[in-house]
Amino acid sequence: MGHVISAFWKGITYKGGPGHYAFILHRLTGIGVALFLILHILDNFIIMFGEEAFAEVLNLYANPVMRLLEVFLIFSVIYHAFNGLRVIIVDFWAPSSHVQRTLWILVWIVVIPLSLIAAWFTLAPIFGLR
Amino acid sequence: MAKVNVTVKILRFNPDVDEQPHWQTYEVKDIEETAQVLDVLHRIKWYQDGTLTLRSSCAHGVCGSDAMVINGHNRLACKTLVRDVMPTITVEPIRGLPVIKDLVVDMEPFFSHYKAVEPWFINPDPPPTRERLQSPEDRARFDDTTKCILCAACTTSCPSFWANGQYVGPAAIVQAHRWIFDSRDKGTAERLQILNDRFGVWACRTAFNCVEACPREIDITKAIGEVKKALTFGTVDF
Repeated sequence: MGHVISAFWKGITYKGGPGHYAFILHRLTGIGVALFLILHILDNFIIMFGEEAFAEVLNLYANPVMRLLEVFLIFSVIYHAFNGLRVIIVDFWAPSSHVQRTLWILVWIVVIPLSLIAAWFTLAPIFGLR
Repeated sequence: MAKVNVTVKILRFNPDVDEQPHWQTYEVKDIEETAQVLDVLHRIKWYQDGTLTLRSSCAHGVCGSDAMVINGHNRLACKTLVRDVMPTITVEPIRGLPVIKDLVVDMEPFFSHYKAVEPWFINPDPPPTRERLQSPEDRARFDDTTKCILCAACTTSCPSFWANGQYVGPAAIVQAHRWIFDSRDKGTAERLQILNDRFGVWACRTAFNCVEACPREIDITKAIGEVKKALTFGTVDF
């Protein structure tokens, strides 16, 4: 565990380029999505205790805090997917290493609007807008 | 030439007395802004604190012995000018290798990864009476990776290497690339086999820190990508 913390500390204190931060965010969003997946499997399991218990758990997701977490989840999925494509391109098409910064900007051009649209649909009910 | 005063924060560690590394601050006055960070460190060692330990040799970016983390980024102290990092300069040993003392790290794990890729000429054919000739195009194929000076700035900036020191690291892959793509060499299959491992090229996560850190401006990620491609398609002719 100490080794993992030490590697993480080296990662966040090192001043790398965009690729470095793309790498860190890729890990964080990956862990986030994996944690949600565990939560998702657990909440589905609740149906074993009856429909009412299941509905009660699902109601928790309508809570503003959970909705905000869902926005982060959607962002994580979208970022992880598109940065993953960037990594595949860089891995298998060597000349792209010269345009990796541009590819990183392209990732954000796709990720930001998609995340904002998803955030609108997820958060609007809190404010009674949908 | 303009002279400046700088504050230098150095991460120090003496295994005989310290349990943990600690920061020590020095003030260096009247130093030319075009001086190297290595000059600053020498000024501290020679005139302020003789116990400061560092490694350097040619002082001109050729020998690769003074790689260190300067202001959070891997650089050669002899290729970094004071004016580019002043007024406060932080200096740490390169990361991921055991610190022996202050800025000196044990390079042995790094060199054992280097040796693992068999970085020498392999060709069992009887040597010709003259040189083994090569076309300029064939020579250009691996020109970029001949520039490596084994300073370890790339490998010790790599998150995959920090996470697991068993990863051969970018420098060893660069050295392997130099031979894999050399038309005179016959050890290609052997080296590709060595690198076709979870701690070989596949541990590269394309964070590009190596490219940003390389003092010789080698396009390391491209070289690693070419090795990955050679492994995937089973050929070096692309």
